[in-house]
Amino acid sequence: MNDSLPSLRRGGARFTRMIAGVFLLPMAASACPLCNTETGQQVRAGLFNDEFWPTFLMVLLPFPVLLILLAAMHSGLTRLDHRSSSRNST
Amino acid sequence: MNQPTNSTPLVMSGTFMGIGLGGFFDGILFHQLLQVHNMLSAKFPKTSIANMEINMFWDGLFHCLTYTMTLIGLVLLWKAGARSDVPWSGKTFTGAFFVGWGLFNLVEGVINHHILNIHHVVESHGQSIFDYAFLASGILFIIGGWMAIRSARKEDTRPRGA
Repeated sequence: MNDSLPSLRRGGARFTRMIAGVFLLPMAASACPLCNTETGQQVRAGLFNDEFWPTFLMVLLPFPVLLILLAAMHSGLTRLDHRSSSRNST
Repeated sequence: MNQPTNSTPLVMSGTFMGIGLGGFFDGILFHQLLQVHNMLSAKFPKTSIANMEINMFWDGLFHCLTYTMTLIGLVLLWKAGARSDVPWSGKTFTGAFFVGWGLFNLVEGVINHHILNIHHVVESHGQSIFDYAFLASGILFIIGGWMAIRSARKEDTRPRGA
């Protein structure tokens, strides 16, 4: 068990280097939200500013509305099922 | 005495999947293939790489939500499949799927295209006939889907386990 610890640590270090490489590679690309380029900085500035959370809520908004409609639909359908079941059983 | 039937679990799973896959249809067709709009294309017009990437980020968040809805639908479908009192009706499921898709088009259309104005179906036209056609498709899907569910309810009165 103890013998495997150094090899695990070596594996972990290799994995960390690999991940770091993945994040450093896009620096050569022209743009991405994580890139350290002029466009990357513009993207970050356009995303992570005072408008982030209001925009987040705006994009999210249709989904809570849909969930409310689904809850109403569920309760209506359950009532319908109960009514038709009690009609069938009599 | 007949065992009571309960089609609600199948309807709910179909509706969730309709919302999720309807959202994916919108994202794949309009955002990616036709590229007529993106999530915030009215706010960030696609005139620069940075603006396109900002839109891509918010498109990604939108797709996370449609993915979640599809996943919930799949779990509900799995659970409905394990119940003997749920009539296993393709007509009910398809109807519910269209109700979900219609709900998505209607709610997303009203909120994003007409209230918040964050994008329009064809961004270069602004608010146009395409936005109203999108809402109309939602209403038609809901009516058609609901009619299918109702007719299946009359046909499938016997539970699967009976």
